[in-house]
Amino acid sequence: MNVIEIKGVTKNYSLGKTTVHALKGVDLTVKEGDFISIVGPSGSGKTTLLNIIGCIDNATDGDVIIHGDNVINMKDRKLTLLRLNSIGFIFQSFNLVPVLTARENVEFPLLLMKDKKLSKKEIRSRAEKLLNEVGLEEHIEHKPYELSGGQRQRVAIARALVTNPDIVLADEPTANLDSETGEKILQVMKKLNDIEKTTFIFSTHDQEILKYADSVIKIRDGIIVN
Amino acid sequence: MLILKIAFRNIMRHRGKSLIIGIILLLGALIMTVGNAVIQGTEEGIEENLVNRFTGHIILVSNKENMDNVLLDPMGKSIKIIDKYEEIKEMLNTQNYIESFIPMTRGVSLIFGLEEDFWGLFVFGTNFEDYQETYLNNVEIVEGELLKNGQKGILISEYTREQIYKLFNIWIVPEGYTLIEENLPEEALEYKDNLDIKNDLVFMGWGEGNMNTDIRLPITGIIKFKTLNEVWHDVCFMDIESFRECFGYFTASDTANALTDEKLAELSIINDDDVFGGDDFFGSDDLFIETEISDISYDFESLKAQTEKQETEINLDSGAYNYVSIKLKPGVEIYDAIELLNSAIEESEVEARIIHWKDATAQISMFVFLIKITLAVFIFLLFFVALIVIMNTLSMAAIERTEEIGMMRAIGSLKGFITKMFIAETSILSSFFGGAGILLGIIIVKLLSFLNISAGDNDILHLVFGGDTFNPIITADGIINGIILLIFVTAIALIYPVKVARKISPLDAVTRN
Repeated sequence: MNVIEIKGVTKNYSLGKTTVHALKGVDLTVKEGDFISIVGPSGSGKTTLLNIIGCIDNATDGDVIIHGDNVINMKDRKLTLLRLNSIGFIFQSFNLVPVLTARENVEFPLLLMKDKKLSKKEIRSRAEKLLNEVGLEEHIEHKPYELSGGQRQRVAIARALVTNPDIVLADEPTANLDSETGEKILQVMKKLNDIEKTTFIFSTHDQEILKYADSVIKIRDGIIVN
Repeated sequence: MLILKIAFRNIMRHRGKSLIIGIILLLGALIMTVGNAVIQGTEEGIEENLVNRFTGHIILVSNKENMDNVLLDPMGKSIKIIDKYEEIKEMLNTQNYIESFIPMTRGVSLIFGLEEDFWGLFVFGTNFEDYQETYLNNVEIVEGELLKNGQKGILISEYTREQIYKLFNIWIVPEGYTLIEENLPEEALEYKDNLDIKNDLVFMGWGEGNMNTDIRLPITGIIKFKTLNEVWHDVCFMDIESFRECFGYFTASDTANALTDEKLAELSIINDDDVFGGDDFFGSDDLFIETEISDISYDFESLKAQTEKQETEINLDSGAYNYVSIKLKPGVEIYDAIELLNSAIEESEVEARIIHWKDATAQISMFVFLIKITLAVFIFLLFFVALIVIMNTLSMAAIERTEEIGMMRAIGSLKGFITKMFIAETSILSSFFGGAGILLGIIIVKLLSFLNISAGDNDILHLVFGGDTFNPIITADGIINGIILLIFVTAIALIYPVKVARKISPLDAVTRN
């Protein structure tokens, strides 16, 4: 089943008087449970593509279909709810809410999902289960500044997965980590992909972690080259 | 709950910024609480010490009187006489919202006999015992005694006596009383044995009419006011009949001696011959008869008593008055009473009009108004500065938190969540520091009241204080108004920062990444 369908997507940025063509007609189909890596040099359009898939940036042209819905003309509120319910994000800089503990950070998206009406107990147990799965059972009540880079990224992974999203997008999740920690993060992601059948799309420069990907999409100058 | 948790922890995390905003809110709330208490104290003090003890709530004057500032006209311009006071009195007696009223006269009288010079005296004419009853015995005696109803004389203020001494070297001592050395100015003590002491003075009303007469009046007493003495220190009181004589007004005695229409009609049918007996008048031998000295003895004390009795029986209300001072029952709104009184005047067709006490004492009410405006402007400026600083600090905080806010938006927070987060943070700060400011303000106000700070001899301070001592008053209304203002300022200060925060998109967070 296709989770994501991208057809002829272009993205142009204005930089003063010049226009930057970040994506030049990209077509892509992602199936449920895929573990895909997007690779390419800096400025090739990896992050732009991930942002458009994640509904945090708009395409200039083309169609972005997620779960059968074209998101191109969706209003901000609907896009936000789509992100909340269907997409998980893992950022390069392990963006966590600084004043919340690891557990509270993981619980955060669930607390935003008012229509699911989960009890406090359910929310807590779900967050703790995921933190256990990413190996942070010892650091549940730690604030982000009390955690290492790798631990913070694992909290981000747990947070991305806590809502049972259909897609998890990770933009260079290992970029700020040492290679050993980076590999561990990928192992965690792969393990969750295997268990939860969650679709993962991650961008990277790191050749070492490409081995974990089921398929690799190469992008250059805004065009998918394989 | 989540929002409050994040808000509270963010406040603790950004302690420096929170403290800046907090201190501004605390100072604002503190100054506003104290300022409101001062304004309230001034208003209540003025109500108690000025309205209840000097002016009354409403002044009734003749409808021919164009001036409003009737009580304190700086030039002492005379007030038109009210017509048919007895009808007005009858009308006022039927108004159930009126507590009491007293008819008065007001003018500037010249004192003669001061080393061939004269001095202007700000004088009120009244039935003094009634005046004291109406105005809560606000006049107290320094020397001599207060005027009794029907007694002729004048009460000179302590300040006026000192001024007369300074300018003319004359020291006034009430008639029938001896010099009290303690009351003498220090410089007069040196030559107290050679002091020019006077017990009575010659007064003449000063005004537009040419009917004014000069009368010699005994000084009955030296007085001062219990409250706001520094404001009223040049006010003197004359008995009402002497005032009328002095200013050439129609006196009650004139009314008593006036011939009735019937008598006038009788007189018109009597010709000279009837009176003088025509030709026989001077030719008659019976005109001059031998007389005998009567041996009837008269009891002069009894005659004197009869005369006095006759004087007291004169209806003082039949003479002239300039205005009627009206005090309302507690809780009656002045403007409501004015409306009712205007209707009553129209219905009863008396020739009168109504003036609010504030208009009748324009300088004082304007001064009080200026005090209030100054305080209000000060509080407004303070809050304006507070508003700008809070707005700026919060906007900076919003920009600094772009990654955090953008990330929250990326993982599913709606714009409303971000708005609520900012409102929660500011509300916590506002409640905590604003509440502390109000509490501190209450403590300071209580402390200031406890200290009983005197206005001394500064008449402006007397008006600012609304009395002789500084007595700011905390009221529930004042606190509620303060809280409302605090909420208003916080809400206004939030508008721009919230706008900035709501504009932060998930993409901003990613771009910063």
